[in-house]
Amino acid sequence: MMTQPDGFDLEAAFDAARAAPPRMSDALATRIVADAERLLPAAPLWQRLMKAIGGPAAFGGLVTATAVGFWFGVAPPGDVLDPITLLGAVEQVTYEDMTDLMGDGWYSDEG
Amino acid sequence: MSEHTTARDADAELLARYAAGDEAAARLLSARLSPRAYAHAYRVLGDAAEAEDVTQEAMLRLWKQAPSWDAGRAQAATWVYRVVANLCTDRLRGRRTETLDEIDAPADPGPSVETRLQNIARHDALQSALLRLPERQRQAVVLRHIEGLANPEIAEILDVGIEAVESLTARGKRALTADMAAQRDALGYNDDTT
Repeated sequence: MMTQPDGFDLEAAFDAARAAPPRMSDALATRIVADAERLLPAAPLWQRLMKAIGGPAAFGGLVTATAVGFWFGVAPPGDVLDPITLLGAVEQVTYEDMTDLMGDGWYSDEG
Repeated sequence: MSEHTTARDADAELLARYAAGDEAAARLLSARLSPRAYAHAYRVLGDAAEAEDVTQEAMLRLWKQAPSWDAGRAQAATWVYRVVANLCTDRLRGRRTETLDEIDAPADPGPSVETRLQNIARHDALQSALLRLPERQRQAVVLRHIEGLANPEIAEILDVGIEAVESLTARGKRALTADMAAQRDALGYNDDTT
C-alpha cells in the first residue's frame, strides 16, 4: 500500500493524512473561547436592554402590554370606570353605589 | 451557491455576530476555524505545543480584528490561515537561530537527532518528510494537497502569485516523493510493497 514498484505512492500518503488530521486538544478550544469572551465587543445598548428584559419574546410581551395600557388610557371601554373621575367624585359615591360595583360585604370595620 | 461560498458567508456572519457582542458566535466560529488552523500549524511545525500557541495567537488576532472586519476584503478562514502561516514562518526562523546557539551548548544526553527523526519517521513518514522540505514548499504542499485549498487562496495566504504556488507545490511533491522513496528501506516499508 505504501509503496509502488516505481516509487512512493504520495497520493495515498496525502489521502491518509487527510483522513487523520492532527486533533487539537479540548484545553486549547477552551482557551480560545475564553480569549473570545474576554475580548467580546460590547453589544449595542438596545441588545443589552432586550437581554436584560428576557429576550425578544419578553420584549414583545412588554411592548404589547404597554400598547394596550396606553390605548386603555386614551379610549377606555365604556363600562370601565375612569379612576381619575372616580377620585374627584368619591364624596358623591354612596354606599349603594359601591355595593353595586363591588358586591355585598365590601365594607368592613375590621382592619 | 457553492459549498465554499456558503462556508465563507457563514464565517462572515458569525464574525459579524461576534463583533455585535454575541458570545455563542465565537464558539461556533472557533469550532469552524481553529481545528484547521491547528492542523496546518502542526503539520508545518511538527510540534503540538508550538502548534497550539500559534493557533491560539491566530484566533486571538481574529477576535481583536472582528470589530473592524471588512467582509468584502477578506475571508475569515483565509485570513486565519495567513496569520498561522506567518506565525509558523517566524517560529521556524527562531528555531534556526536556536540551533546555531545550541552548537556551543553541552551535549544533549537524550537520543540523537537522527534517532529522533527515525522514530518520528516510523510513526508518520509523510509528516517527517514534510518537515524536511523547505518551509515555503512545506506550507504550499500542506495547504494544497492536505488542506485541499485552491491555488488562488494559497497565493493569498502565502502572499505570492499563483504561478509561484504551482512551482512550490510541484517542487515540494517531487522532493517528497524522492525523500520518501529513499527512506522506505530504512523505514521498513518494503514489507508493504504491493
